[in-house]
Amino acid sequence: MPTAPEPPPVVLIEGLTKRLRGVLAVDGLDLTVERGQVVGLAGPNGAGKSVTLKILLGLVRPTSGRVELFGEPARPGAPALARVGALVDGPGFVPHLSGRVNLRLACRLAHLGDAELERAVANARLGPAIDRQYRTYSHGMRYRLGLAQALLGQPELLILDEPTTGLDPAHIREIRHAIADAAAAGATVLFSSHVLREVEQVCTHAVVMQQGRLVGAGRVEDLVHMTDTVRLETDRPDDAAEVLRATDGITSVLVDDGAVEAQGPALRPGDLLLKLDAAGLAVQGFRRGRSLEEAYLELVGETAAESGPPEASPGP
Amino acid sequence: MIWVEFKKQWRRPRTVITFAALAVFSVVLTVAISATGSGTVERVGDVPLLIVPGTSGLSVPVIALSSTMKFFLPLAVAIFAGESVAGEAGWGSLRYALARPVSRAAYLATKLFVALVLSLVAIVLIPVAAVVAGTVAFGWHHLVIVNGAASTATHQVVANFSPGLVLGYLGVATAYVAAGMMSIFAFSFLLSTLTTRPFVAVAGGVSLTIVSRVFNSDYLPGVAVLNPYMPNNDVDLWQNFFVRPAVTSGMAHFLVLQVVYVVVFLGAAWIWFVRKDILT
Repeated sequence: MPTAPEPPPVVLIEGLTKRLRGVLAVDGLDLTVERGQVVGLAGPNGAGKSVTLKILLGLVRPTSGRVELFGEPARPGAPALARVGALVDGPGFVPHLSGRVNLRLACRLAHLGDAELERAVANARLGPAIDRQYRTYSHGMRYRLGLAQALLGQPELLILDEPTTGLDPAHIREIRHAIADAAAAGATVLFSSHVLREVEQVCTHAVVMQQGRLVGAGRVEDLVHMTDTVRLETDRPDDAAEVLRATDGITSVLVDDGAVEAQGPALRPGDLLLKLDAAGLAVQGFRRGRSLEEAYLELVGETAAESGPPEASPGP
Repeated sequence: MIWVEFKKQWRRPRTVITFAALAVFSVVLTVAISATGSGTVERVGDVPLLIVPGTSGLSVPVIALSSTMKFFLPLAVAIFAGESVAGEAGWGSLRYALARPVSRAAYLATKLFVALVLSLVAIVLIPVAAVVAGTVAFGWHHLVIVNGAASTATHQVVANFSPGLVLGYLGVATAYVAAGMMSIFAFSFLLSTLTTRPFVAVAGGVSLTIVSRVFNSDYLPGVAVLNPYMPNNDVDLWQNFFVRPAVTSGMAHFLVLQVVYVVVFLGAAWIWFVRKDILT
């Protein structure tokens, strides 16, 4: 009896290289996104995140390497793009037409009916402003419309490039909810972000890029060492570190910024707390794992994170 | 896709303003002629054709087409072709238009078709509006044209055209002018695929018109060798229809020249655009 063939990964990138104006924007990247994953792409400016997403969308041609969407080669006009929704480099619409007409045109191009249009209009949550010219929209309203367009036709893969740039906290929250909703409805999501807290909150997986290369990838839990690291806050961090170093099952102890980070494969947080209490040390804060930001900074190095080369894609 | 493209373009302020300006031009021309004295002799073209506009409304389209074909119409055509792809890039919607299961070639063909239709409408609008405005102002009469080159102080070479014949000539002349705009159109369209700033593509098309003018043998006899290859200089040859006997020499050469320019510019646009990295 033949076994059902394994479905291809939603995104498959192998040895991807892209040279832009003499600079290697993407340099030997390997990346796989499986169905149902929510993958956050993090990295400093110029890491090649945006170019990678544009290659997936068929907007940019790779210099070399293998890039597949749903098992088909990603290229300009690839049929698989019908299954992809995108919001890259901010929303882009016809300024003299209303939000509704813009969405209608998008529906028409995608051969979607009025029901889908009404769903998109509801998704955009612009109220009566949906019938106003797009040029009159605020930054946040434009992003709402952009997201509604990306979600048009319930795509199986959602590609979002910096979907929260310049948005206020309420709008960022909306975008986060939209990503979570799409994921709950079965969509695979790949998005890039500078804001690591977002990646941590929303994603199942994270990928860290730097200078066109992958420097870290995996489940968010693993990246932040959820299972083998604890972080403690106490008013006497050096004394606490002393106690922890003498504890079995702990392989390394760091004092950082007034907090103590202990790592070890057989770490038992409850025991640690009892031990510190017995030593007369009051623990004011306790967290399992590191923050993704700490993990990220370790991966890319603090200086690179602050001043990477300029973003490969030109500004507006 | 074509319907969607028309929907994007036809209510654009730029489209509306360009069409309105072209239509208003003929009306303003008519009003100006009436105001300054419809009995004044107008000199049209290099022949020159001497026309007394007040004698027939059909003089207005001849004057209007003559006075717009060397700058106003190239500008209108450069706007529609130059805005086409670059305008979309400027809006930021080009990446969304292309991140779909549609080939670059099909997208470019759609853009080209719609820009071409808008350009042709702009070109046709001038003589149509002028015929209407002229007829309302000066009536539907035979058009009398004096051949300024063949006439002397004592002997005038006069030709008399029936309204039907004038309309027929105007139809062919408009088609000829439209064909003569195609090099400018194709050049602006090429620039439109190269830049994300529509202004650059429009200015480029206008510049080509100006370059064509500069290398006109009337101004620079020394570079007359280039004159037959300039993309816009011979767009006025239709005026020789109104000479008796009608002269058509040079027109075929000019039309072939347009085909060559169009093939080169549009070919370059296509080769470039299907390979282009869309980074904005």
